Amino acid sequence: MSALFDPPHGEWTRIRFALAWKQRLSMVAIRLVFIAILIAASLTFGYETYFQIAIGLVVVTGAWRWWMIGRWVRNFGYAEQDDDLWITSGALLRRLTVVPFGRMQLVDVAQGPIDRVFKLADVQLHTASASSDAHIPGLAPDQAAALRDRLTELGASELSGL
Amino acid sequence: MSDEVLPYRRLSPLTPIAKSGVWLAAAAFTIGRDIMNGSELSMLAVVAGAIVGLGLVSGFASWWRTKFRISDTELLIESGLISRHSRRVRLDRIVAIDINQPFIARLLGVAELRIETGTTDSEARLAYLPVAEATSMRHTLLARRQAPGELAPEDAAAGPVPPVAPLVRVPLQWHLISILARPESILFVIAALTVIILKSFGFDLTAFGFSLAAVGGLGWSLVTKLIGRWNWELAVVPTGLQVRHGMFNVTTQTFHVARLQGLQVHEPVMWRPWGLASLQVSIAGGVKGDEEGAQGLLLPAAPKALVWQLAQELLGQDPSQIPLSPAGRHASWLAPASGRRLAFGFSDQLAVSLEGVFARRTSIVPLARAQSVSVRQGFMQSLLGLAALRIDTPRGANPFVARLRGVLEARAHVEQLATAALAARVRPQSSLDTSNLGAPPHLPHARITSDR
Repeated sequence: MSALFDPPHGEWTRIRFALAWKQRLSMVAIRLVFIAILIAASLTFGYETYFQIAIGLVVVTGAWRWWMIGRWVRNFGYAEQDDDLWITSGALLRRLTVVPFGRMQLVDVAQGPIDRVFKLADVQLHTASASSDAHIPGLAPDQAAALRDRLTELGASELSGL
Repeated sequence: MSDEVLPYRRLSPLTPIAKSGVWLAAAAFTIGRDIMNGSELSMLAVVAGAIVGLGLVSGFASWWRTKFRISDTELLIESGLISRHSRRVRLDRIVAIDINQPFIARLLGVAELRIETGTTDSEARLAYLPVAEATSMRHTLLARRQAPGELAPEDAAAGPVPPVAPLVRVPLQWHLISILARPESILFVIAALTVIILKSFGFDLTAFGFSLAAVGGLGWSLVTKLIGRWNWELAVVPTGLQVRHGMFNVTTQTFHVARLQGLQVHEPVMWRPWGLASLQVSIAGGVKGDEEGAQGLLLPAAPKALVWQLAQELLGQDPSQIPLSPAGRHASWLAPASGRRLAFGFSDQLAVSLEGVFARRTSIVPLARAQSVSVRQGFMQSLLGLAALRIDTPRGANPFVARLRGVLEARAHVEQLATAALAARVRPQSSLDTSNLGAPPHLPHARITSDR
């Protein structure tokens, strides 16, 4: 089945695994707060068994998310071709998108405060379609800037065909 | 066109005041009232003052961090206080530039520049600039765009449209068939008959008042549909196709054929004895008067031959000539009823997808309009070796989906579609031509906005 999500030529360019650590960190932090609330509630109201089951659920789904985040980041890849950009993503629901350079309307680069700690940046391509999902997270900042520059440049060379 | 790169500039320093203007006024009012009354500042005034103060400080900080620059080909906007955001807008992608002046901005003599590109979710905004600068910026941006003068295609179409002889006028019997030959109408007839029969046998139906109301409502919805579609006319006008319909309120819609993003032919099994079908189109930028693109009904019911001929004229190629292939081998596992009816095929210009058991829906998109091509595969599909093929079209139009394709074939098709779409884009757009339908020879063809 893997053939469906193979790169067009050569290899996928992978994103930084630091993205997984960032997402895991926030996922775990939220769950810890939730568990703390559950423990506090259990101490106040009793019903220990139910709260233990609830905490168990939070931990188990957390472990699942932990694994899925890793899978998602490892599966993500992009490849720049002559005329288009190929992006593959997804942990369970997998997708492969081909965006022609000539269709790009805007290129955004964004970096949040936590992203900066992890040295991550986001590149978002906009086409005229809301559904073409061309979003590349987890790039090194200079890599993101370079990609943005290349994409705007390639967008220009393809323009003649419009 | 000059090729100088203008230096980075900042927005008007009045920006934070203009942005928080309403709140500033509210706080000033609250505090002012307390001072006038000679009383101590109330809690409300203190809180309001603090919030506005904080707002002003962050507003000034964000103004300080926001810089923009126009190069020969791009508009660059750097912003963000805590998270940095840098946006590049290609000047040749600009569709419209609006100057917007809310009330407080007008008092301060500043204006907001809104730069719209073809995208759905993001427009670039520069708020606020001094009015003179906003105007000159607009000029600069327009001058540096590649194709000046094409900014407002609507302008050419403005003015009263001369009356035209309709191409098709849908007669009453087609309407009656198309409205009556559908499941809900049959349900209505059965329900109405049941009520009448029960009544004639002397049953007391007061307890079933609710169901009576439901029957009445169903009947009424059918009647309003008929009234709305009354006197349906399709005509060719200089800008494309025009639809007029309605018994009391006459609705007129104009479809810019040059912006056709795809069409759908609907052939319900119950219409088959009369050989009828309906035709729907998606137009980028929407039907006139409608901002957000729309699905528009061209013909609610017409003979199949006519519908397909019109489709062919609109698309520039006969879609029925395109060979279709069935869905993947195990498709029936995920779609027991419709799996066998799914089909997909494409030529160098069009992609066609077929689905539906009781109502055959044929979706067709011109490849020249494809924004991107993608494959999606869920977990079950990966077990069965299936995947969905998708062609994304601009806003308003439904994305084109071919469900449950075989994996190997889907992969090959993604590459072929991407190449075919590229070739179709490069080729001059001779396809979308209504001249055979009697339109004037010069329809607005390829232009930036037609590409949205």
